[in-house]
Amino acid sequence: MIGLVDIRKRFGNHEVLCGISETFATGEVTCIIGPSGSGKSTLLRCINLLEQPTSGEIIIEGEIAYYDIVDGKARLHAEARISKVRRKLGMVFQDFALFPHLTALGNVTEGLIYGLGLEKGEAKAIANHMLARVGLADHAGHYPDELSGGQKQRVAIARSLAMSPKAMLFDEPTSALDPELVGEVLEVMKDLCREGMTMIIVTHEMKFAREIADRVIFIDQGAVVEEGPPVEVLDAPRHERTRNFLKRVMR
Amino acid sequence: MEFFNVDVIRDYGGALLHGLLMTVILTFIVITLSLGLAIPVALCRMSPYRVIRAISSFYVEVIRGTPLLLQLVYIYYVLPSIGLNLSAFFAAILGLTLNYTAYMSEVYRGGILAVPKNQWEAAATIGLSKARTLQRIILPQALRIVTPTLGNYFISLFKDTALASVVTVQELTFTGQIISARSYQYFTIYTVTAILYLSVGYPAALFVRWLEQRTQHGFRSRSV
Ligand SMILES: Nc1ncnc2c1ncn2[C@@H]1O[C@H](COP(=O)(O)OP(=O)(O)OP(=O)(O)O)[C@@H](O)[C@H]1O
Ligand SMILES: [Mg+2]
Repeated sequence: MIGLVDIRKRFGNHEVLCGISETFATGEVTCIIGPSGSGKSTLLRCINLLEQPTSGEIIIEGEIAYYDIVDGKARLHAEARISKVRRKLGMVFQDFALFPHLTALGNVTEGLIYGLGLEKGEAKAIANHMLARVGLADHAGHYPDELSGGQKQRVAIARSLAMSPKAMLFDEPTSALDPELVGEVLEVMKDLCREGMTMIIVTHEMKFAREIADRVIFIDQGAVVEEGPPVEVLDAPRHERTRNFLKRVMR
Repeated sequence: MEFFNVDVIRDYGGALLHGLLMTVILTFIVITLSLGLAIPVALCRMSPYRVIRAISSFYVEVIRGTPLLLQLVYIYYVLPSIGLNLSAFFAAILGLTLNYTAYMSEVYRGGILAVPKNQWEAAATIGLSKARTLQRIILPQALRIVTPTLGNYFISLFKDTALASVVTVQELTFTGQIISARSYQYFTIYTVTAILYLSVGYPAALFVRWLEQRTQHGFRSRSV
């Protein structure tokens, strides 16, 4: 479903991603773990072109996405074409990134109306259904400022799901939440997993990763150090760096 | 009181009120035009195309680097020599609008840049084009940020219209000058002139403060 071929990303002289190749199968749930600054967010953001890789290819549903390499240089596709691919990938941000001037319902209908071109009535029906799905049916009229962190993140998930994405990308979806609000967001994500959604999740919640992930990828300094099922990577890591990292976060 | 001559008001009150009306008309025409035009200018200043950026920056810097008084004089007295004859009224409108548009475009630009980057990103992930994102997501938030500042520009424009007198527009200040010179009743005429400015300017300032307070808190279901 998603393929990454030798993705590199450099900010100035600092190589943040040093050639990452991965495939993410349909329905697979992958958790990406690693120390702060290791390039997890950057990798996720390359998948939907919020960052443009310095080199490498991204393949979405069998097609080369976003740009073609011509004479060794990336030539970006037209905006509409990029948009079409991006819509297949829902994205959930650590800081929610809700639109503060729109209600919960407005946040969800926005992409349906102005991204997909649906009628307002139809968009509202879908949006209400999505809000119900994340347990916020009776908060449709609330503005983000009137919602708790957990509720905000669930609206953000509904906003992404409304676009009927083929995969969902999560960048530390619970890191900005008070501990007592983490559970409600993780529950919604587990529901998605049960429904067979393809998910790539950057997280520091090791217990959650063990529960939900088909595969765990440990990244350090912009490279994949170790990957495999949670029982291997989390419980019996082969690499010294993985062990050290886990020791630190499990404390 | 011998300074204050009530008869003068009877004779010239109508003319002063007429001057005030002209001041108000100038203010409203210029603020409407500038509020609208400053947005495209702000966008040009942030354009990905260098030529567009250069031209719009040049315009803004010329306006900011020269006195408004000179700009008005230039339009009224210098442009005719290249065949551009404008009536005093239109010269004033043009000069004030060019000036306020430049300054307000900077305010809008600041407002647009103050909207967090994640708003652009979130909009991109749900398939909104750049133009749509600007229209639906960024501008509504930027407008709220800049409302207090623009409100203050509105108040200062109301007073800056007095400069239109240098191109012979008979707004309030110029009217006061003419009739006080004619009647020698400087104290009375200029006091009344000041009171007339205040009678509009003070309520306007209160209105702007109210707007400012309204935009202080975030977006909520029942915003006051
Ligand atoms: N826009 C940018 N410009 C310059 N450097 C950047 C930029 N974005 C990220 N970096 C750098 O790239 C490196 C990787 O950042 P990234 O955010 O991907 O790490 P991360 O693994 O997500 O870390 P964390 O767990 O703290 O979120 C960091 O050193 C960061 O400073
Ligand atoms: Mg990160």
